[in-house]
Amino acid sequence: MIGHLIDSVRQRVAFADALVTADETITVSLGHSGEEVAQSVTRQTHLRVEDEGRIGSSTRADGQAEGLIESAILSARHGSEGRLLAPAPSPTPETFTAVPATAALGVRELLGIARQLNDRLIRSERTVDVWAERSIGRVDVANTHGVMTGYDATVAGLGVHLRFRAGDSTGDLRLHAAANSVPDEPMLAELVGEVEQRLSPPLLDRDPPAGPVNVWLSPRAVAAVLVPVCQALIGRNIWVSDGRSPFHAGEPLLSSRLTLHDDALAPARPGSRPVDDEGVVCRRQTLIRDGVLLGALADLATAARLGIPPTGHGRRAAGAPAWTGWSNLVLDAGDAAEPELARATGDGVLIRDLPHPVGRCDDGQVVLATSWAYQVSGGEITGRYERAVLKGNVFEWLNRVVAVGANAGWVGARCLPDLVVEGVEFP
Amino acid sequence: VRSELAAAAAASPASFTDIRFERRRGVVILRQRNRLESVAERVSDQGLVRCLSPGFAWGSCGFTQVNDLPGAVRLAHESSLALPRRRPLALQPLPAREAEVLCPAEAAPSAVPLARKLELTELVAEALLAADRRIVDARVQYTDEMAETVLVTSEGVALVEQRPEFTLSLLCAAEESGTVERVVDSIAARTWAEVEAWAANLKATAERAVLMLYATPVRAGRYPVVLGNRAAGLLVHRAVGHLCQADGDRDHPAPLPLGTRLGPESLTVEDDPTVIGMRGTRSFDHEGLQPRKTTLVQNGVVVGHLHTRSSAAAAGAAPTGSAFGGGGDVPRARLSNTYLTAGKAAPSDLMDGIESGVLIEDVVSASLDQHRVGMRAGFARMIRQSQPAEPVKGVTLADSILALLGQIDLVAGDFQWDGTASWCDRLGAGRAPVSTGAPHVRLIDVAVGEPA
Repeated sequence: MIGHLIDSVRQRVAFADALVTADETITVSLGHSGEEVAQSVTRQTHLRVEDEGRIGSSTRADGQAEGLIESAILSARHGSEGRLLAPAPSPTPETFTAVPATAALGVRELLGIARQLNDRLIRSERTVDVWAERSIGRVDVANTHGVMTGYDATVAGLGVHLRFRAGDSTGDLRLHAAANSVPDEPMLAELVGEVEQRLSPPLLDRDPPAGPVNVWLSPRAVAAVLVPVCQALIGRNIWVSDGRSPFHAGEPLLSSRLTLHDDALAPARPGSRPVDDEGVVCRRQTLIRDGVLLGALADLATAARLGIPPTGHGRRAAGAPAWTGWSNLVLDAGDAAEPELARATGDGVLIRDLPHPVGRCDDGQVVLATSWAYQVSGGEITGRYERAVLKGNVFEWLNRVVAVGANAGWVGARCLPDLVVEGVEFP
Repeated sequence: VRSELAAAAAASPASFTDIRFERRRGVVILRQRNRLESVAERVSDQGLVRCLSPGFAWGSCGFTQVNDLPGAVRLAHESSLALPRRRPLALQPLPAREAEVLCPAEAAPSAVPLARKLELTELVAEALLAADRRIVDARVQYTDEMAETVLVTSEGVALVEQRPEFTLSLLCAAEESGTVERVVDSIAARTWAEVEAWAANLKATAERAVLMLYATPVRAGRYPVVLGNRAAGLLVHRAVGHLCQADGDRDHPAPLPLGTRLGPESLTVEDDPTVIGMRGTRSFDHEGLQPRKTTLVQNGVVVGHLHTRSSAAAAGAAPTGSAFGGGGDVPRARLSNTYLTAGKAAPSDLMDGIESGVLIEDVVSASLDQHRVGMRAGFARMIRQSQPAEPVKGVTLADSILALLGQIDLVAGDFQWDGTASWCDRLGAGRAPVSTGAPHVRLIDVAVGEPA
């Protein structure tokens, strides 16, 4: 289909590229708030054209090539001025994106996995909801310069939402895990273990110390703290700021203990892919080495605007222009084993999870509120605080890292170690 | 499409099947300052088949191509047979009916030339940048769409609704001495004329961005707080409306029980999907029922819930026509146009006698976590000696719903709908376009400055 589309548009515009995506998903949900099996079969075609120095795009789900071409050309006639540094055909790297066993998972198997998870978590003082999901996808990319490639992808995910009562206190906990492979016994055991680990320390009747104190961030919490950093490394944000961006290549941005990559070629992770949505071949790219900013992510439009090569991070979706997005974020592990992380925290606070930050992500000034944090006294986890709020500047925190965990763990499309940060305040 | 859907529903082996298909056709224009960033045409198709068989749970399958419909019906039926239920699901009865609510061609977004839409974004960006020398950035997004929804059920219901929508959203940034402040605003309307009229009057938005440059951080503490129309409307949507949806989900497993006292006598909250021209208005709900106004809270007491057909049958309640699923998501009980009814106080009474308080004129976000509500102000001022005074920033409210609503002591008579392009997310049920409305409200003693 994509070949026919590109052949049909080739003679009518200076350049065109297309993305066709197909996805089949099964989700089973079990537990306290109801039981449901939902499936979906979706397809989407995205066409972009460049003609007479202007760019336009169009998306359709019904696969009608002629309608798609006409509306893309119409939008280009009135569209933005610009050029795309379109890629030519080149060999794509070997990337492990699809697992046949995951693709073969059906409703019955997913129900079995969800039931196992539910049975292991259910207790008298809890209500539990669990879900299990698998997606099979196909992505095809082509352009009028001869790029014609594609890949299959599978993703499987497990999630739990647990509410519990302990005395007068109630709380809730949400956790999920995702990978390309079938959720197996270690994945289930890890998720269940993480739930019990969160709930086991006794609840304290006081707030965390106002600080500043040392804070030990587990990988899920590190993921939230890194959100402003990830945004800062999107190339588009540099040209949108018209030179006002405070981030400059070659200058220190974070603690010298931190090295950060984007790795589209990591095997069997949700963000893995051999080629991006614009046909640019993907690779592992180091963006921050020993705290020093090396570069930013760029899609084709950003690359043309900034005069840099595209990095293979173009993303496209219905009704939107292409944008730049991360694939798999990898923060290098350090050398601190768990006892050393605890010692570095001293009399401080452990945070295992944080939501997406609220505030001004562009300059790193954020507020992060979590249902629970954990008291660390003399390097021991001694209790659980109900509700903790961190307030401050993420870039400043990540310049005050005093320990980096030796074991990095995958949280979806992010591979992150624990970090200990000094001087964090809880207002 | 309607006949294909009806044929597929009739051929379904399940005892009950409904099929919804939505086609959205429109344009998206993005502009930053004087530069056109992108123009994109889009045709988005999304559909959902639901099947129910006696003794089993719901099964569903989303699809994007009508060609895939037979396969989607098969998968939905297969899914519906995967989960046996001890207590069978019942549905409120729905008589067979056919109806079409069509939009005249001249009112469709496609009747407005693309060149005019581009010109509007250019004028808006220019107007914002020209409003003050400190305005350094203006980003404008224009979107329109004609959404056509077709719903058929195996009981003989066949409904079609065409619904145009024009949306203009903007972000305006002011800068001085290295300080940058941003404000956002938007309108969603059923007609091009409404959007044009709104776009001609954006001076206040630019002024707010400039005023915020000189705003000082609010001193955390307890204050009397006056909520403007938009802030009060958002508060009742989040804090009251979301807890009156009868069918539970993982976020809110059960609604507030009927009879719960939530606030003072002056607190009456309604949800009305039949208000003409509002964003949450629907000709039929996503199960084919006729929508109707529902009183959720009467004089401070919970008196009603929003229902789907199955939650109404389970509760022995009358259906409310509130089922809605965004795109290809399953329909659940959803808010539509939710509002706090007008009170009796004169607007000027609300600030009377306040030595030191806070006036929240705009809100950037409101959240609900279990029964705790949080709110972040987009624009706020101190109240000093009964008058609005200097702008302040960092204004947040966070408290339990009962504690917050219990502080309402005056509700003004100046009810106003909010025309903002608001969406309401519900777990597993996608995004629904909604409206809110309220008069000004006074809360007598509230903690301000707690992280929301």
